[in-house]
Amino acid sequence: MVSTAAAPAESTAVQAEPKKRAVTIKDIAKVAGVHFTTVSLALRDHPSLLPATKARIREVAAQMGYVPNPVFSALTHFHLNGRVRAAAQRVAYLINHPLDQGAALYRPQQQIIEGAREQARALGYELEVVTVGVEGNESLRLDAFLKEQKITGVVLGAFDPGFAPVTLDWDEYSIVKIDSLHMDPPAPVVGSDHRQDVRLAFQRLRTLGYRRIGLAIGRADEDATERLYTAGYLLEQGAVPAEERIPELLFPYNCSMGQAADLLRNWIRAHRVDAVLCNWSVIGEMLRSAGLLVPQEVACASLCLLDRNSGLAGVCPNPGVVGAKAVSIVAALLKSGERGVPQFASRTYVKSFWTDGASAPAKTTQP
Amino acid sequence: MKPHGERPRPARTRTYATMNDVAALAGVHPTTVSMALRSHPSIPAATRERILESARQVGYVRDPLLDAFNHHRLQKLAVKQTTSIAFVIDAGSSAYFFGSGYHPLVYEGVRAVAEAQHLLLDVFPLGTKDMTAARLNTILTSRGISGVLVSTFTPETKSIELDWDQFSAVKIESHHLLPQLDVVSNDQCQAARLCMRSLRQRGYRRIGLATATDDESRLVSTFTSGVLVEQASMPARERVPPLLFERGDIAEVAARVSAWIREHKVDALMTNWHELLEIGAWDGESTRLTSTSIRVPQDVAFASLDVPSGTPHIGGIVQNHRLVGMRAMEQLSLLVRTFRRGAPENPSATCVPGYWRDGATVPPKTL
Repeated sequence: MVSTAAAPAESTAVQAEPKKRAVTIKDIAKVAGVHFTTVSLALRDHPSLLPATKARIREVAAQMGYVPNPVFSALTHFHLNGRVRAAAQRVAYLINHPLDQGAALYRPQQQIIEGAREQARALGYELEVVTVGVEGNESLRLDAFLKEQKITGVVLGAFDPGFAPVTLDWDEYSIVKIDSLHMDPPAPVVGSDHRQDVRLAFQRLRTLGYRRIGLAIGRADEDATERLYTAGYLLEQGAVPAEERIPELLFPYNCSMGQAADLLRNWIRAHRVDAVLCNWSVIGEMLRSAGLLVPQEVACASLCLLDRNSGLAGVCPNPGVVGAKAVSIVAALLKSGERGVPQFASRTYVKSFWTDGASAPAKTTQP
Repeated sequence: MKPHGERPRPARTRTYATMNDVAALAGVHPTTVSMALRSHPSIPAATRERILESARQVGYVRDPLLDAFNHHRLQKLAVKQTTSIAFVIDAGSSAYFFGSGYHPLVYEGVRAVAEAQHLLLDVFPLGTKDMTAARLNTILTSRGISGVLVSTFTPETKSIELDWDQFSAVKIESHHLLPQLDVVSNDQCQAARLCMRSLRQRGYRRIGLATATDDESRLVSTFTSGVLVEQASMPARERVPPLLFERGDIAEVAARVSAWIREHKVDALMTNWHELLEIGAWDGESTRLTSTSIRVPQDVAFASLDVPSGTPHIGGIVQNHRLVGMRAMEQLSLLVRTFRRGAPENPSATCVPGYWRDGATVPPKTL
């Protein structure tokens, strides 16, 4: 067994103070030849210092093994806030449409917020839901609001397309996005694991006896997820005989329900599809309006099943976990002091689960 | 930072619930509350649930000042009670990372975060004669270690039998390994996609992926999914079927790879297998594929999907192993702090992207 508790490098270029006491910012200041308040600013990545200066001071601090004293951090908090119990630091959750409109449509958003709120509490933060963009460009006001409230952690909720995008001075915030891979800024993202969702559904439909499984997906959703659905679909197709591989159907941008139904009907007939996988939860109604009997003529499963008791089979996302995960990542960024758009933004995918339904019963004709 | 005088005083000045309030409501001693909140094993689950419910009712939240104070105080005591994290590594995994500094880099990231957060890190190699899962379980329990970071394990290890309900845990890379925990890994899908795009930009038109079948299972087929999804938007004549080979003798593997290169007229080989390249044989202009006469880059370009350190002539994707370690440790620290023990119901996967690096093994293609 190897014990790996801190093993400081002995011979650093900088002469460290005797090991008796912890390194303070004054020690760093002496070595770096600056005032200790400059050290403080540098460690907090304050914009008033030159990047080169900050880098130099941080280098010295790292070499001397400086770590912030948790007691002083807490005391400073106490001092600045004027009482023993500090108000919980807040994390903003930005949405670009009011939640009270179209309750059913926005239920996943509400579940995301619930998950985020609960996790924020567990981590000692408080979640503040902020609605933006309803009256047009509010980005400037938003920036002012967040600064005034001293909110530096921001979760960008799953934004509805068609609303004005939010632009902030991203360098000032620790940011995590929900879902929208394509949207600016290129910050860390948390969302459902669409690639695995397709694989899960495909495999389950195969087990149920379906052999001509086709993926029908909105072009807009494909672009927004950088073709994750297709990635999963192609992987699964690689595992089935070539004659059972159906080319995917892409609904164009701004496709009406009528157009989509026509496209679906033609595609199903042309490729003798026996089960349709679709990321739209209204796939059942679309097939019926295309004049097809579900499940007698064609089975279907949704890749984003919001209601588990609708009779529709499909993959249920976990919005609560997505929200919780987003807050966890913001908290980690806040804790390590990472602000702005990172050079390497991570992506976190939350696993979904399958629910059987009347729209895709087990095929009885299988041997 | 603004002068103190300008700082608005927080509006809320309510009093805060303490553990005593929770104890009064739940009808237990305050120490029982403390133990319940820490998910101490001596408190029955039903009692804990009841106390947590009481805590929710009275709105109890942890006090950051006292947390910090306790941390400081415990450090001064003769018996230190710092939170320890177990970094469990696979004793048999070193052969899988030939030539890449994979493990040391991940470990460096893990350690950096652990030090910044005052967590002690203990490394436990698992799978030797002396260290079985059962013994590890005993050690972790007796030392009061509640956080377990599971490092990359080879596909031979299918599961690790610890009493997981006692531990908060995060896995690195090993998607195949049970139980299903939150995973942090390199974004192999993104690596494959970025590699293909970069190779296309440099003029290559017959780009082929060769990797081991068990690498793909360990990484849930992510290299392949990236290649397939990129190929979907390329002309059919450019789609080289990926070669998945069984792990085995390197001469046999190289023979299969070279046959595949000839059969499919591959002009750029993408792989995570550095054994395929005679790394040491680079003469400034050229080297060969191991035990073949195929010259690199004259006959075929070689793009690594995980460029090893200390090999400036190799071009390809550099993976952020250090960042993977950091992200994993950050997530684990949050789980430990919030007492989330056991395998989560809905695990998530966090992917860290890599970046392209030019190298002499992948020169721009001249016609």
